[in-house]
Amino acid sequence: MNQQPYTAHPLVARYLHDLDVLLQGIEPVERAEVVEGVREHIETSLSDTDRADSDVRAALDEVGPATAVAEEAWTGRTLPGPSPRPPVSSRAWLPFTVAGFEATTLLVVTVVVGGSAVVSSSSATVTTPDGQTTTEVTQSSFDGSIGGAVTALFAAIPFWLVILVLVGVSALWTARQKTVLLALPLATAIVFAGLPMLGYALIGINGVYAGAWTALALTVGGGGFLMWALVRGAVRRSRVLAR
Amino acid sequence: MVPGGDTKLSHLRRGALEYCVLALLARHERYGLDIARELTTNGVLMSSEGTLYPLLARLRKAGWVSTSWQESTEGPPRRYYSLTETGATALEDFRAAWTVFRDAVDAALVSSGEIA
Repeated sequence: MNQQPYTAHPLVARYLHDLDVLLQGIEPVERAEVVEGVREHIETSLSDTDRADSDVRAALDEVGPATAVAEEAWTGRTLPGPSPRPPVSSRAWLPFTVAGFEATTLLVVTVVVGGSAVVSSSSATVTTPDGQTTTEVTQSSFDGSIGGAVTALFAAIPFWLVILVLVGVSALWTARQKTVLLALPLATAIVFAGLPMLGYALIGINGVYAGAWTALALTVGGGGFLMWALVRGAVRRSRVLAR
Repeated sequence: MVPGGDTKLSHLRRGALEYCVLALLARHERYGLDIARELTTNGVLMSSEGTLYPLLARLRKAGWVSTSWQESTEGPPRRYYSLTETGATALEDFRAAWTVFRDAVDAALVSSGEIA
C-alpha cells in the first residue's frame, strides 16, 4: 500500500532534502527508509493540525535536527564518521565558484552580443544657397541580428558547461533553482539581442540605445539579484549541512 | 576526558535503546510517532523523535522487526512496526543480560558510596 500525498510545505521539503544529503553514502534502501520514516512521522504529527507554519515548525522541532538523525544513522559506520560531513558538492565554496562562472558567462554573452550589433549612418553633403557646404546625416540603420545572440551562446558554452556540472552534482539548489541558474545566460542573450531590435522597430535608432540600456539594466539588476539570492541561499544551506 | 551530562546519556543509550524499542513492540505493533512519543516522554531514552527512524531501519534490516501498512481514521495510512520471532528472542537475551549488568553496576556504585 502506498502513502497518501504528503504535505508540500517548503520547510518540510527542505528538512527532508537536507537529511537526504546528510545520508549520502548509506545504502539506498536504508537511506530511503529513514527519510520516508521521518516524512511519515511529520505527516502523522501534522494530521490533526491546520498545517500552519507554526504547526510545521513545532513538528520539526520535535523531530530534531537533521544532523542528529543523520548521526544516529551513521552510528557504527566507518564513513563519514561520527560527525557526518556534507559531500564535496555541498560545501560552501561551490556557490561562490558557480557565481564566478555565471558572471563570466553573462559577461561573455553581453560583450559578444553587444559587439555584433552595428549602428550605421548614411550621410549626404548639402550645399546651401549661400555657398556653404554641410554634411547631414540622412539615415541611420541598425543591424542586430539573432546571429549575434547565437554566436554569444556558443562563445559562452565552455563556461556554461562548468556551471552545468557543478550545479548538476550539487544538492544546494532545488531543481527549479538549478534551471534558473542554467537558463540565465540564454535569457541574457535573448534580452540583449531582442530589446535593441524591438526598440529600433518601434522608435528608430534611439530605440536601439534605449533597448540596449534596458537590457544592461535587466542583466545587472535582475540577473545580479537572482544570482545573489541563489548564492546566498546555497551558502546558508551548506552551513546548515556542515553543522 | 569526563563526558558531560548529554554525552553520558548518549553513551548509556548505546546498545540499550534498540531493546527498549523491541520491548515497546512486545505487546502489540505500533507506528513510528507512537513509539517516538513513548520514548521521548521523559527525555532520557531519546531526545529527538527523528533519531528513532535510523534505529528502526537497523532493526528491520536485522530482521528483528517487520513493517506493514494500515489505514488510519485520523490521516494517511501508517506504517506499523511489529516484533518478529528473532526480535523477541533478541529481547529475551537482552533482558537476561541487562539484569546482570544493572545489578553489577548498582553493586559497584553502592560499594563506592555513590548510591545511598
